[in-house]
Amino acid sequence: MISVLLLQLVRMKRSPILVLSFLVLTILFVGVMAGFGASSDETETIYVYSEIDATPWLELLNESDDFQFEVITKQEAQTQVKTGELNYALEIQNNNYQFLIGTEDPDQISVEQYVNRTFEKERKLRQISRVTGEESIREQIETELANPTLSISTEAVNSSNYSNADLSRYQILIGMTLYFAIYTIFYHLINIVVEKQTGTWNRLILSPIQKWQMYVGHLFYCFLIGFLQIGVVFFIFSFLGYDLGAQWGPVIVAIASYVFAIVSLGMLIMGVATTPQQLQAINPIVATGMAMLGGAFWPIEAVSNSFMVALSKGMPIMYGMEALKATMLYQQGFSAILEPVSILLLFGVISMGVGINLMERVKH
Amino acid sequence: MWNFLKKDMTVLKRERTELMILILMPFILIAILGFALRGIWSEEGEALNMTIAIVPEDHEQEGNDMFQADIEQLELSEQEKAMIDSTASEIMPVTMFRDIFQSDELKGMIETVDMSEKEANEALRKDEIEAIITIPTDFTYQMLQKMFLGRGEGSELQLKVQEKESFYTRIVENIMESFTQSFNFQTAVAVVTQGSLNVDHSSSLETLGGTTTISTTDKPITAMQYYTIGMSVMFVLYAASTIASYAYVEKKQHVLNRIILSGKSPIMYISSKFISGISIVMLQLIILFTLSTVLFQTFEQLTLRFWLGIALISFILACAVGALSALLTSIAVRLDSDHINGLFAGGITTVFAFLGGSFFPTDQLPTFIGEIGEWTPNGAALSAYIQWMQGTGLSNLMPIFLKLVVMAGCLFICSLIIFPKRRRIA
Repeated sequence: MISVLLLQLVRMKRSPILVLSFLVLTILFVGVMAGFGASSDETETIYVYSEIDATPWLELLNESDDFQFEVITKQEAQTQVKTGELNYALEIQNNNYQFLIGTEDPDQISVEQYVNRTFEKERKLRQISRVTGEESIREQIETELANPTLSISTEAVNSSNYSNADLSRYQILIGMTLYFAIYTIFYHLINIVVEKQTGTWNRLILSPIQKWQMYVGHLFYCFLIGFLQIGVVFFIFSFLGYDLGAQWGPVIVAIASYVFAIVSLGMLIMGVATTPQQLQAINPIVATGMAMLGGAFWPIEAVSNSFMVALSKGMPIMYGMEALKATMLYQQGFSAILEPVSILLLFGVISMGVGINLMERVKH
Repeated sequence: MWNFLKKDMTVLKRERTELMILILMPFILIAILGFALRGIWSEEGEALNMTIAIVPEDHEQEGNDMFQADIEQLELSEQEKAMIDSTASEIMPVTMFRDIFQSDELKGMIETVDMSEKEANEALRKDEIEAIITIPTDFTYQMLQKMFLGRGEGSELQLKVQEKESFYTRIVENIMESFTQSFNFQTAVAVVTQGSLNVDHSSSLETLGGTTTISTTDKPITAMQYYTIGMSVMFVLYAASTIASYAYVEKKQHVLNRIILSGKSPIMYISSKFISGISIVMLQLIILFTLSTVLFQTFEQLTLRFWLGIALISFILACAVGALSALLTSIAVRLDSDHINGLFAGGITTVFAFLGGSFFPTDQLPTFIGEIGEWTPNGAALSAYIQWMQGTGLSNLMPIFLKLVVMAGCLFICSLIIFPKRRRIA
């Protein structure tokens, strides 16, 4: 078992390019998408164009903490909406606004609600000062509004110290790291198929080594590579302005059980596909599909459809994300990750069992 | 040349499973996500569907009565008392608040259920509801006190959610803020003008807001359309690594050496990979677009002109991906390793997909990302498809076509340069 593992490690030492390139790719990608260093508390940018001088409206709109309104020319807006670079743009008219829509976008709803509110208030204020003709009435109303009759308080069950922008950065970091690790793991698992094809596997079977030892040696190697890749990426980013929580225990358990589930999934796929080329074609599609459905590319909370939610519950990456978010973002301990971790382990054991059975059946 | 192509096609045809996966898996994914998206963005523009629990701990009538009793004890003239009485009894803040969820705009999107505090907390924990709105005890009473007598802190609606910054929280908060803002505004105006001015003159103003589209058909691109195209242009990239992966097998099984020995030029070999790439991508796109039109009515315009345009864009995209297959083939043969295909399928494709906007438009990312994205084959093609669907003329798409063709040309030339010279193919 140890010698099989060592053999794999020697192989990796000889051609470390693939492992390293995935590592570099993950770091670069997360870096570009989420930014290195601490966040500058980013807000959502909405692009605005107008044929009139829209400065007074812009000042009002930009009082928001969530949105940043930026002016572009009408032509830019039209081109960008047309080419799909922007889903929508906001046109400010004399006393009104309009959305120029290219592609439907659910985020537009909350933007529209906000813009609507701002415009409605300002229009009424303007109207009242016009009707009453009093200059001071505006200030009087504003003073009165500063001390409102009705207010809202929001309380969150899962509170975290992170802003929206921060959450999406962590989403990208965790999601992308878990996603790219799938490729590394799957790619190294192909070695088993290659060894079977080239005959190394059969020669090893003739040696005193047990079959389970060969499997364990290979699988443990893949596990190690996957675990190290995830670990190294998190480790590096913890120095690049990401606070990943101090509880290394639960984090390590969560990563380990996720990697185990993915290694097992790889074995299941290899039970179905038999040549390295088939695996080359299937693996990325399985990985991407799983990442999309399991919420590695966008937060799963944004999905309301019950069918999608049900599907996501079948994706190991969903539980990996859940466990890591619980520990890293919400600083929860072992009790919080117990459920996702046990589902990952169960998933791992089942697909490993089915996968090895299928592979052995193909052989005979 | 023709023979090479025939060989490639025969090899691919033999690997039926793989071809099926390459073509059908993306479709299954589009279908699954498409069904889901239908739920999110359905035809009536109902962008979401959520349930909110309302915990009514306040009794509107009791609050009102209590306030009336307070008024009775104040030292005011009978006339003033009567006026406050009659105005206050008309104010039903809880009913008003509940009514907003019954409005036409929100009715289809948000469902409200009355629950006790315990039930609501349980339901929130189980993810059955998205938010809890508590109308606390003495809500009406405190509000009336503040409104008419300027006493106390006013009242507060309590919102409880899973996570503070989630999509749903923002929507609910926005709805509640709209309500409180207009409520406070009216109150403020009433206080300032002593009730002499009725603010509800909004009918005299033109209606606020609205939407326009750029498309000549006057319909925005639906999420389903964007998604179908975004996914399709991403999945065609996998064809490139698949073809190059087969080329690597040919190299390993000495097929390539035999071909070179027979005196055929490597250009022929590379070109056959290029054309195989084009054929697979075209096949993929035809099947993806046809199936999603037939099954999901993704594309409604069925004019010949529309489809010819789509076919042209697809063909040019196919050329770029074909050239990528040629390049990957050359690299795999040159390095004598399949790693490059693994890296391309695993990493580079995903990066391209993000940069090119296959998952979501790039406007929220730094500008330079969008600019790089325009230079990825999938990003350029996505942009061309979207413009064409919005009714842009073909002549306006020329820059994109030119970009893709130049890209294809460069990649192809690179692949010729990288392909090992005769004696170096070991």
